Amino acid sequence: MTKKRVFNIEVLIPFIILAVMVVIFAVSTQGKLFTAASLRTLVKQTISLMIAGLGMLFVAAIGGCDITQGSLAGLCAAVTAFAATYSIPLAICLSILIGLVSGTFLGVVNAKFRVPSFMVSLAMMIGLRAMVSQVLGNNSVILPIPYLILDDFKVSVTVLLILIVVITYIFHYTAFGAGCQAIGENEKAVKFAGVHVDKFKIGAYAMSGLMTGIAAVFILARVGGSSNVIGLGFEMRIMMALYIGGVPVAGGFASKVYKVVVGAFIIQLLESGLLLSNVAGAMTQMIRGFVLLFVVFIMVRINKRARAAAGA
Amino acid sequence: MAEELLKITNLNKSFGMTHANNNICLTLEKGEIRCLAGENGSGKSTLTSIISGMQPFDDGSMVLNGKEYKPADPLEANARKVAMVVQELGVITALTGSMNIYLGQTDQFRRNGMVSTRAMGKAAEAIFDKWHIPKVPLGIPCAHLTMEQRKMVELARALDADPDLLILDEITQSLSHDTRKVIYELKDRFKQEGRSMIIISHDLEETVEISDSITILRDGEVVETVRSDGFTVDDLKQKMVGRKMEGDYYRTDTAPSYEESVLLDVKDLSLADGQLKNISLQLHKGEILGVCGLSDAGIHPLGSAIWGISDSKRSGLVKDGVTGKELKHPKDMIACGGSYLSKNRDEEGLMMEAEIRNNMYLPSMQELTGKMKFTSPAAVDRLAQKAYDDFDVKATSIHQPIGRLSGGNKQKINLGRWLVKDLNYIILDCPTRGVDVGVKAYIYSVLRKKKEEGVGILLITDELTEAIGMADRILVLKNGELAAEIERGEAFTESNIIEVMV
Repeated sequence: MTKKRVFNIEVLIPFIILAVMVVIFAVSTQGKLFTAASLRTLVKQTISLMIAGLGMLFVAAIGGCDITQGSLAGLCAAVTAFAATYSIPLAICLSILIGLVSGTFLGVVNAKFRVPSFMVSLAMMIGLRAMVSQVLGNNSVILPIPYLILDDFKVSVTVLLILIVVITYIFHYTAFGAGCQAIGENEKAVKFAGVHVDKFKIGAYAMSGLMTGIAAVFILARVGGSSNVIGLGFEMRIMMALYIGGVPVAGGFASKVYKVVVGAFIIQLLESGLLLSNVAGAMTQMIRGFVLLFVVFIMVRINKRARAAAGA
Repeated sequence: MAEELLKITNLNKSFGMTHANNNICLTLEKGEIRCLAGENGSGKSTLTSIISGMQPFDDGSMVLNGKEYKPADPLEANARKVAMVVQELGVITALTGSMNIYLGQTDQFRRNGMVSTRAMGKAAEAIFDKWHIPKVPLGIPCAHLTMEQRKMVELARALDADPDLLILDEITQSLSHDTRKVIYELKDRFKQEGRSMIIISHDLEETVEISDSITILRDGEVVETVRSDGFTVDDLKQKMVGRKMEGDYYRTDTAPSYEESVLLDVKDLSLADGQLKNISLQLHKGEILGVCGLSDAGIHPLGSAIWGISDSKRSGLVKDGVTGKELKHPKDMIACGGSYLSKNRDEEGLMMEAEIRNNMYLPSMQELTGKMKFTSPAAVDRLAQKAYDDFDVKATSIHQPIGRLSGGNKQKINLGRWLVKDLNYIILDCPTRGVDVGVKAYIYSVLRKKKEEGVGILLITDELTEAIGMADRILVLKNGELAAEIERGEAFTESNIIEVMV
């Protein structure tokens, strides 16, 4: 009954890039990057990026934009660090809750008041960063030792795997996930098909906020304490991970969980690889920029060709 | 013998493997109104877009006014006095009407380096005056204009070239009955002044009625060019499809037939912006209820308002006849086995870049949700495949993106994905808009079958013949109010309906 699908090169692109990068850095770091120890570090560094990216996937799928993650993670981390001195479980719940509230707020303003998501999240990014300073003041908070168990490789990777499974389920096997992707394709069509588009949109942003809240818990554990600069530039790395992984900027059904996972690895590999290859910091940024541009360019070209071949 | 305006000889155009135009030969005289007829995908739009300079041809030749004609772009075509109003391009909604008309040619209104919007507005008005097109507000962004007004802006843009040859691709399908008259008058004037037109229309009655001659295309080739005198719509249908049409197109019975029980009960439905005023109607089991009216009569807002989506606030009561539940949101109606098909299929119906499968899935999202919110991809595939097979969609598989499938196939998907569900009633807004005769006949047969199964159908349509051919009762709307209700029978004639409409 299922006819064979037309083979799609687009599926392979992120994997090819990943493979190319592995080869390049294997040579340029003389294998340093691929020792067991560096690989573990690499994975650990990817965890928070991946978690927040999985949340952002819902927003990307509807064709929306969320750039609050950096500031939001900063705020979550600040509050969690304070709360952790009283109770660690409470602190974690608090972080997730703040993320959820922030995301929901963004969603409601965007869906109900029709303010473009980029504008709302830009405003929130600035506002939330200010709140971080407000909460922390001049203090820097040191975490209680037991909290650092969250930085343990086994613990954090287990949590990550569970989250990947859960998000895959929600995104690919429920009406909510499909609805978000459909909105990215044609919002009006979804609305006229009788779906509560607003609820789905709010849900997508709430998901992004919630996952950022979870990511913040792990960022905090990695850093070991809270400071004003936690999460700076985080939103940019998330976006890069998504787009390098091949999630379409306009959203839709080509958004996939695996693309976020692979994309996050590519970003981290690029950063760590350049560092271990003794490339200067400023150069690193520039190379990252070029790679992103190049990959998106390739994606666009290939999509265009695939579409022409499909007669679309 | 009149003079030749355009002569096309052995014109070819291919897109990859598809031969869109194959050895086209066509001669057009000055003052001639030519219609192109053919099913979707027969190459009409390709041919007109070549003539208007939107794409190059592969080989062959065109001669315009005795000189070789090979336009590189629409501007060059305009310079040779050829202009076209395309089917789907539309206007740029953020710009004003006059800006849209003079886009790319604003230099002529430059004063001291600045473009004078006033001079441009005046020039734009002058076009409307010159050609007697109904005035539309030109100073505001086109986003605020109705579809019909936007079409008028496009028409004005084409007429600005002072064309000897004007090509209209499916212009009348987006126009209401009264505005179509403008096109007809324009046509008469063109004839008088020795100018020519090429018109594509899916409305076959119109095609035969307005043209001097008809060129029939099939699979990219010219089948025949005939004079329109004495040529009938039935002749045309046969020539287009290349075989005799099977079965009846419309209903043949002359009396209404439906059951007593009410499926959908609408009371005093109004919209705050005045598009609808106190409309009450009842849709019965097994009934096809036609709704007709002029462009601003409110027939299209009526459909979406009953469905639960409207630009302005809705008042009144929409009730499911069986359960007695009040229906406020489309979801409520879906829960009661109702559905709605928008007139704007590509904007408000389908996801153009998504696979057929995902489009099929959209209306059935709730039904396919199982325990723990789980949706099985295999179940979605099965549903999509069933609708795909049942409605005879022609594509490579359910995984093909909808993209450039023909209008007829798109509409089969659009309609099929709803009808595959167990429906009680369905609101259809122009379900045969932009589809060819073959698919049209198919859709009518499906509707007749659904009627026999007891499904109630609210058929909103711009084509009177369609309403007369299919409906048990016709409601005529005028200025947002219910003007008349006519039962199938003696009184079911076009003139009777038009009398109430105007």
